[in-house]
Amino acid sequence: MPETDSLLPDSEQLLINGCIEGNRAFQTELYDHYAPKMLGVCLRYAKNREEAEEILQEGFLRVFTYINKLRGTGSFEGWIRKIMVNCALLRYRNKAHLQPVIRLDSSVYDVESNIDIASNLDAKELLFLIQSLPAGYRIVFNLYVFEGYKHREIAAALGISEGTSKSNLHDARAFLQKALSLKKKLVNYCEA
Amino acid sequence: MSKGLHDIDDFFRSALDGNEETPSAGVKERLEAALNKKGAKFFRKKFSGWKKTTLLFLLILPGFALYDSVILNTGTGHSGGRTADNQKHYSYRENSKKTSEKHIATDRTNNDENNIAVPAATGRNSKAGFEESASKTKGIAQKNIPREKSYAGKNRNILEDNIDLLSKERTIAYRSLKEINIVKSPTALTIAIKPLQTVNSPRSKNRISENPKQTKGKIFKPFWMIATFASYERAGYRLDSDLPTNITSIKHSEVHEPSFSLGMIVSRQIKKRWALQTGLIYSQTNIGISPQKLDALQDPRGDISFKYITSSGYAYIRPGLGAPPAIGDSLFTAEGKHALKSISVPLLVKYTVVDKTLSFIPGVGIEANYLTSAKVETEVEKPSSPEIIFINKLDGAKSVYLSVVADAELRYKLNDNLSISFRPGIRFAISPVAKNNIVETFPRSIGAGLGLTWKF
Repeated sequence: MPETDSLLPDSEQLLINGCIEGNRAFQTELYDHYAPKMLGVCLRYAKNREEAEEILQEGFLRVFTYINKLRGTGSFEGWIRKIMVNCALLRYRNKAHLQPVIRLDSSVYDVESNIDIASNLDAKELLFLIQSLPAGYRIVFNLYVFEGYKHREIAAALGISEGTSKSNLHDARAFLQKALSLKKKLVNYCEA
Repeated sequence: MSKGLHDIDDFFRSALDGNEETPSAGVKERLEAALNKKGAKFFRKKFSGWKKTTLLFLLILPGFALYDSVILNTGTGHSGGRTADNQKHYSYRENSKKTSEKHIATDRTNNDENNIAVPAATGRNSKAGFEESASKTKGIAQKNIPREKSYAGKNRNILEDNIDLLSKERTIAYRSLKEINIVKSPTALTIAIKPLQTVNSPRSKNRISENPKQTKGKIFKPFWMIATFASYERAGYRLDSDLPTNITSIKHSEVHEPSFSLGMIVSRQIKKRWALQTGLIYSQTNIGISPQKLDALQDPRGDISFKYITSSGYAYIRPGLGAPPAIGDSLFTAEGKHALKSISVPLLVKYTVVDKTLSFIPGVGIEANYLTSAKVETEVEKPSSPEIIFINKLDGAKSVYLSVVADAELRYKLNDNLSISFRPGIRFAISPVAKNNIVETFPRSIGAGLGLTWKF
């Protein structure tokens, strides 16, 4: 997993000013610095890498378009991240995939043992599990778990009811548990 | 169980929150291309003020030209015309006075017998004075020719002055003198006098005023023409969007069908070759829409409806009386028909390249298009029974958009007042027909029409 150093406040401001002026060199530098981190965010919201890269492209286009409206308050990285999430939501809203696809009885799964299995999985495999979620579940799960949204906020952002949001989150967790359970069975089978 | 679920949340959060992946090089390239396009768009918008000013200037300029043509050519109500006439009068007066003085001096010095008293023209009406003076000078010259060549030469100078003066106002006389190449001999001089006599006759004056070639448009009278036409057109559009997928999806779902225009056009011939043209044109553009899958979305009123998107705008539809749709529902439509009807007001500047029985008159200008109707007719595929949906109003369609127009009219004269015309033309929009849609649409068309033109 590549590591990116955080920018010093002065150099970050310099970068922002350069981007506001439309300087292509500064824009490239900003992209190079934040793109890997933001692609990590986009990958969680998309069903595959291609879609994630499309979201990333749209997101950076918005970043460069609206960077002149950036206020000094708050983290710059947080602002970019919010734009990426909004782009993902917009894409999702346009396609409207919020229908329940599966019903799972989550009580049958052994959560604790599944986490043990999950701890042996690397980030790519976990990401694959999230990407395997139906779009509606994936979005709700991401907003709740990674962005820290409340169900009320998710409902407002997606134009759904709070109950639907709760239901989708529950189903998403159940789906992940089921996937982890299958993984456990597979590991046990391989070991045997 | 609940604790376990939250543990899963924490586990995924800690494992993926700082996850980073290097994007492929293609993303950067596409982003740069999109930024370049955006930059170009910004540049276009930056000079929109100048464009509007230029457009306004182009609209006002023909008005001035029309004013200039109508008011100045008729010579009424404009001080400039009178001033010019006065200057001519002064010019005549001064010249005729000088000529008369020369003539008198010459007569007195050289030959008393031939000294004919020529009244000075200064106290008279200038033109009449000049004509009288010129006429008498000619008489003197005619008398002197057989007697003394040198005397004739001096009179010839006087005549040349008169000829120069007359040449400015009487083109025939000037040309005749040049052709004859006077001042060689008394015989030639006699011949040269004839055009002057001819010029002064009332008949020739009338002839001059009737001959447009000799007066070079000075007495061109502007006239009106009215034309009706019908044209067959192939329409299309240019789509613009930040997201190429939107352009592709619209292009794949819509096919332009033959369209037509009917119009009545009024032209004002302001100069011999220049004309201004305006009128009213009714156009109908037909577009076929392929079957679509509509997704249920929240409309601006907060209701859940199916969004039907076209190049000219969009509409939220809720077919049937069944249960209201929920987000995530989808609906399939059959092929649809989209008709755009507009009334256009063009303003063209026309130039007559060839002005014969078959005239060639190209023109260029702008056109304001008022969208009067944007309708969609389609059929919803429902399991129970299909339902026809009529969309009479599209959201996002602008009521007015501007186009640039150009045509190349071929006009065949049937008689002095009536002609038939063939007019191929193109028009392309410079402002979009849709706003707040997924794409910006700039309609364009190419067509050929037939019409009748009356001159009056």
